[in-house]
Amino acid sequence: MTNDRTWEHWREWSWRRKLTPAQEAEWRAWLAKHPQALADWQAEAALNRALDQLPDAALPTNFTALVMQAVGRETAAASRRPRSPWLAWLGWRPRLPWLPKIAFVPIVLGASLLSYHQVLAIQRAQLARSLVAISDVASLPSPQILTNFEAIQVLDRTPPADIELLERLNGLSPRSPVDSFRELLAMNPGERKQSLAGRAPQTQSQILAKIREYESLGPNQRELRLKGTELYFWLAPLMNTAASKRPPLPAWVPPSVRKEIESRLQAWDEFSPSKQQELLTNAAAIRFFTQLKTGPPPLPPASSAQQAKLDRGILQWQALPRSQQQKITARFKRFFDLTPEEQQEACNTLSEPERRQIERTLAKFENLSRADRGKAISCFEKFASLGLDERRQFLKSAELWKLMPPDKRQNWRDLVNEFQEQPPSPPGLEAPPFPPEWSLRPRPAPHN
Amino acid sequence: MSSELEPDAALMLRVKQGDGAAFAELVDRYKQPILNLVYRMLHDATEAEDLAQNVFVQVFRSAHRYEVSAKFSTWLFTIARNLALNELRRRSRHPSESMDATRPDQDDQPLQQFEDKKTVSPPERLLHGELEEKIERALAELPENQRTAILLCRQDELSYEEIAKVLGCSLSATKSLIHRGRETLKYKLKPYLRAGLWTDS
Repeated sequence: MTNDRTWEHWREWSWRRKLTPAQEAEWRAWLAKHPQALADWQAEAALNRALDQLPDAALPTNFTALVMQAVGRETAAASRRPRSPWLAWLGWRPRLPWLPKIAFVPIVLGASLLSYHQVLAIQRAQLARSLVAISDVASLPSPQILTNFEAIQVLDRTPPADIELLERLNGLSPRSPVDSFRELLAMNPGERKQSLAGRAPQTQSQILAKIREYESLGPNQRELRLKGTELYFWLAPLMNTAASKRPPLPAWVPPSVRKEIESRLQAWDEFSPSKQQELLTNAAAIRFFTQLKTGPPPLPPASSAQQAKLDRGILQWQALPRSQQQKITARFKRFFDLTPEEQQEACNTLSEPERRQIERTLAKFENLSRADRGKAISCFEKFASLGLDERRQFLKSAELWKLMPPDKRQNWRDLVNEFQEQPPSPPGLEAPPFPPEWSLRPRPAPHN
Repeated sequence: MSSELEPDAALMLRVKQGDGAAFAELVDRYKQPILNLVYRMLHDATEAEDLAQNVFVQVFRSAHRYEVSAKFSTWLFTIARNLALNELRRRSRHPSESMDATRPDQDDQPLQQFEDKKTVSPPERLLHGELEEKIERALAELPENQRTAILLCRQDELSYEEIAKVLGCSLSATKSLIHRGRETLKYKLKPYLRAGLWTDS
C-alpha cells in the first residue's frame, strides 16, 4: 500500500467525486512514475464505479405531495389546538441563573414526550390518509362480500349444465343425448322433423325450442354449454354410485371427456361416503363439482356511475407501487387497533369531506370481527388486483351471492374450501375463447 | 440578501417565512438522496418512505430554528440519520413490529425491487442486477457508521467536514470510517472488482 501524500490526496478526492480530465491527466502522470500503486488505484476506481451504479431507492411519484399534505395537516391541526397556558409560561425567562440547570432534566423529559406525541400524531395522520386512499375502492363491494371473495369468485364461472336439455332429450339416443342434440343442431328443418317424428308433439316442440335457443348463441358459447352439459351427464350418475359399483364408461365417451371424468371422480372418492351423501343433496355442490373450469367472459362496459367510480378508484390503486399498496392496507388494518379516542384524533387530521367519505367505509368494517376484518382487507387486495372483466364478473357473482340463503352460502363456502384445488381441465376439454358478443343474462341463483 | 446565500439556505429563509413553494422545492431537491440513505439504513422500502417523509416534516417543523450559518444539506442529513437511528433502536426493542417483515417464502427475494431506469439489454440487466445485489449486501453488512459515511461521501453536496458533522465525529475519524468501510467492501467484492464488471456505462 502506498503512503505517499499525493496518493492519499487523489484517493480521498476520488472517494467523493470523479476527477476532471486535467486532474486525470495529472494523476496518470503520477501513476506512471509509481506503477506499484496502479493495482490499488484500479481497485479504488472499480469500487467508485460500483458505488456510482447503486440504484436509487424506489421513490413514489407523489412523494412531495404527500409531504406537503402531511405538513398542511400538521399546520391545520396546530391552528385548531388551543394554545396551552404552559407554553406561554415557557416564554417567561426567570432571572435565577441556577434555574435553567435544574430545569434541564424536566425540559429534556418534556421535549422527549412532546416529540413522542408528535411522532404519534404523524403516524395517526398517515393512518387517516390511508383510510381515504382505500375508502373509494373498498366501499364497493361491501366487506361482507370481500370476506367471501374466493367463494364468490367461482360462483358464476361458467354456464351451468343444461339439465332441462337432458330431460327433454331423455331416451332420444342410447349414447349421449348431447351427441344427438349436436346432430339435431347440424340438421336442416326437414331432417329434424323426420328425426323427431316418433316423439310426442309436445316433446318435439320443446326440443325445437331448445334448438332455437342454442342457435341463438354464438358458436363458442354454444360449445361451452354443450360440453358442460355432457360432463354433467356422465359425471352426475357416477358420483351417485359407490366407486366399487360403478360401471365402466362406454367406449364411445370421447377420451378428453373420459379423462376429465376420471380425474373428477378420483377427487370425489376422497370424500367419505357420508360427506358424499351430504354433498349430493346440495345442487350447488353438484354444480360446483361438475362445472367446467374457464376464465371469466368479457362483459359489457359498466353502466352504473357507482361502478365507473369504482373502476376509476381501482385504476388509481393499481397505479400505486406494490410497496405503497401494502403500506396502505397495513395502515388500514392498524387503524382498527387504535382506541376510539386515537381514531378520532387521526380523523381530525382530515378535512370534513374526507372524514365523511371514510366514515361510511369505517362503519362497514367496524362491524366485522378482527379476523373477518383482516380477511376482508386481504381479499380487498385480491379484488383490487383483478382485471376489469374479472372484477365485473365478480360483482355480478356478488349480486347472485346476496340472493342466496345463508345456509346455501355456508355450503358453498365449505365446498370452495374443500375443492379449492380442482383438477385442471385436460387440453381437449378446455373451454373455447368467449366471443365478443358474450353477455350474461340474468339467471337464478345456483341453489335454485 | 438572500441572493448571496447558498440556494438551499435562501429557500430555507423563505420556508421560515411560511413559503410552501420553497419547501416543496427543497423536498424535490433532496427527496431521492434522503430516501436512498434511509433505505440503506433500514432495508425496508415502506418504512424508509415513511421515515423520509417524516424527515421533511421535521425539517418544516424546525424551520424556525434553522440558522443560515449551518449548511442546509448537513442539517438535513443529520436529521435523517438521527431519525433512522431512532427507528433502528425502536426496532431492536420491538422486533416484531416491522410491517414488512420478511416472509419465509420470500427469503430468496432481494430486499427491494428497483425500477430499472437503465436501457440495457436483458443479459446485461441480469448481470447488473446480480452485481447490484452483491454490493447492496456488502454495504448492508458494514457497521452503520461506516456505511453512512461511505454513502454520504458519494453525495456531491457534502464535504468531509460536513460528513463529520452529520456523523458527529472528527474529520480524521470520518476519513478513517470511510477508509475502513471501503477496505471491507473491496475485500468482499474483490472478484467482481478485479473482473472489471463495473464499467462507466
